[in-house]
Amino acid sequence: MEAKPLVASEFLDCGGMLCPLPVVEIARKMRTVPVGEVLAVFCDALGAHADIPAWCQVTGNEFVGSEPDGKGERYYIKKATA
Amino acid sequence: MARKATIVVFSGDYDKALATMNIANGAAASGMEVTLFFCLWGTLLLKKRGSLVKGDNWMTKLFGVMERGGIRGARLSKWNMLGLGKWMLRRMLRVKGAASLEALWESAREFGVRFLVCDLSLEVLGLTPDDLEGVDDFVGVGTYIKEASESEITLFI
Repeated sequence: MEAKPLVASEFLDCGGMLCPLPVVEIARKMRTVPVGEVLAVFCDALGAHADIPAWCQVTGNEFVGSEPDGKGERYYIKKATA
Repeated sequence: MARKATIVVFSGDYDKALATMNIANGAAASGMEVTLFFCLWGTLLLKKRGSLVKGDNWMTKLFGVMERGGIRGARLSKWNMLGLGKWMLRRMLRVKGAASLEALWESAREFGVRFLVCDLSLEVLGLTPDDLEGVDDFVGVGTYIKEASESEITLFI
């Protein structure tokens, strides 16, 4: 599977946050992200690699991908319609 | 209709309330409509602090004295050690940058999580609606069954 280019128009720093704060903060932030735009989230929580894609699946947003970023990972989430 | 999650908050223990609020926030953040049903000891988490002696007979008055109520009055389910264990857990959470129970409680409110209280528990503990704070409604098992039957997640903590 060829990865889509990872670009974002919005950014959220969840560095140092522990469960459940990353998904809580992502949910709050996504309210302000326009439909179709991509939010990049920096997160270094151990479980984030599973939690963030899971959150996307449950909420219907698109998990675009992720890439290593320093001590954590940068996750890309595309805001879905509705 | 939004997807639903319902949690029975039976335990009044501090650590279990932490788990409840973690899941409630996660579900609400995932777009679910979350309802918490506070029963028996869980009801005490919502008890206002203040007058220690409550109730209409000596047994309920005794509970009123033993259970100070609120998050501050809640104990750990193990290693409470007269509050030392609770103090240590709170400190450990803070040092790690984890959310406090108070912060998760507040966040749940902001997400619109519903706080329902079992009317039977209130009666049995000798409390009145005025003794509690932050309650959206007083309900019975019928409401729980309706909500739980419509929920994809239902837990008893």
